[in-house]
Amino acid sequence: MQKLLELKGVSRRVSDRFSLRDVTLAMEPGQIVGFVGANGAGKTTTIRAALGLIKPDAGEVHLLGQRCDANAPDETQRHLRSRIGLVLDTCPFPSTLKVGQVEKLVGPAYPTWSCETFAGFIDRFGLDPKTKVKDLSRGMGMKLQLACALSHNAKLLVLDEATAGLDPMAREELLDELLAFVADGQHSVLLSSHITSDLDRTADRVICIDNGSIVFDLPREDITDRAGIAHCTQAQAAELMACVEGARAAHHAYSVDVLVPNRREALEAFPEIPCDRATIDDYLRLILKGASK
Amino acid sequence: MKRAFMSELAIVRTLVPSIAGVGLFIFVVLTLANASDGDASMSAGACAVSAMSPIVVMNSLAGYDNQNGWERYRATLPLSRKDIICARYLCIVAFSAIMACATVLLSTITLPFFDHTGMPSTGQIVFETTIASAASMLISLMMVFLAQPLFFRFGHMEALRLSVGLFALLGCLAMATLSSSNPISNWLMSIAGANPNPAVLGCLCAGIAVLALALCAISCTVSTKVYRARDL
Repeated sequence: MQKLLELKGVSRRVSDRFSLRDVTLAMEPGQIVGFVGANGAGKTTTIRAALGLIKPDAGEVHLLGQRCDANAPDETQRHLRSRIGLVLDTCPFPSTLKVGQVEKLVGPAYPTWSCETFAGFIDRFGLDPKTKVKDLSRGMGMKLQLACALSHNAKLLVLDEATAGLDPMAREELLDELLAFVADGQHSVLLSSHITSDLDRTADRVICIDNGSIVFDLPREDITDRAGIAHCTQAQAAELMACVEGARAAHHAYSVDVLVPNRREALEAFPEIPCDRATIDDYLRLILKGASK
Repeated sequence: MKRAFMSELAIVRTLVPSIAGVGLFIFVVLTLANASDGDASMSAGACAVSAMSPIVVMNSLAGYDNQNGWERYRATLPLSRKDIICARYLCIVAFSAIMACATVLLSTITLPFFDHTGMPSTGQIVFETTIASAASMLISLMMVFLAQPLFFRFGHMEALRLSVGLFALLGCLAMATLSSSNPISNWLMSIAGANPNPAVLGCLCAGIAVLALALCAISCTVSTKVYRARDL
């Protein structure tokens, strides 16, 4: 199956303190891929490299099976970018424009732009075409971006921290839109987010980046269904860590949380140790901050 | 490029009322000031607006680029960076030309109102106003073409600082060139001073247009190169 987005060994030095290092990831149709990591871990830089906004020092970016980075021919870039929709954390349109004028700004760039679809989304999202961009709330600004991203028959949606700062209802609406978008199995979403509870509900895969390198790339079930958090005493934790491959421990004042890759196996081997399902938040915290054996 | 131009037009349309308003104000003030003196330089208002428009539209468009990360978002649209640059140049030229035409038209319409100052509304005056406005616009466009690569390389705020320095330098050069002791100034005064030959004026304006066109092509190429290399 043709991958919609593929980064192969992308490296880029950004500053003396930060570089993207050998970032490899791929997205297949029908998937929502969660892209997580701490602030400054490299999520936005990776997205910028994928969209051709920065030139990688090494590696390749492929969109819809074709090479598409900042060095690709203009025609290829035009064609491939017309299949991508982008939603950023802040509304990127000039603040003095009105919602209705945004269509005239963005629409002409896309050969496949549909005025009817855009008008439909504006209506459905309750956006007033006469409202200025600067007067839109954060949620409304995100909806305006989403309307633009969905009005040109995009195959791939890229959301960079788009849920940050949204209230639970607005997040819920956004996630419903994303689930509907990928439902036909032809489209994909790359969802970069700090709010991992959104990914618990929607993501098919979770990719974590830390300090410019990919730390893990797992199916969501491996985290939320398979992995577990064992709540142990110091002695139990030491025993568990010695026996379970890949376990990570986080020490608290009176207890230790141990991440185990397989909750059922851990429960069978240590029935006296309570072991809960892991959330993506737990998994991320223990992988990034926990101590290994 | 057409798609990028259409997108750029969406922004330019929002600029028209404010720039036209300021232009009209400047035109009225300068025209009245010169006419009440019975001065022959009735074209001052038209020239000032024609000269102002390219610089104002360049700065305004660069300001829009800077708003809310629009420049970065635009770079993700299916427009090549060359398209974006060419559309920007085309927009500035088209807007400047329209503003220059509008001010010449306005100047021509208002000319009969100043008959009492002793200035006849002849074809010669209209021609001179047209040439003077076109030359003002072209010289201003040349300044814009010199500054535009700075905007694409450094972004709005930094480029604004640098372009002010550049314009000051150009101003000094212009003053030195047009000082009375300079042979270039003397030559210009001899051909375009009092009672100039219309054919000479036309040739002079065509020469400036050719120079502006060449500068536009060079500036556009440099801007495309620097913008392609820039991280957004």
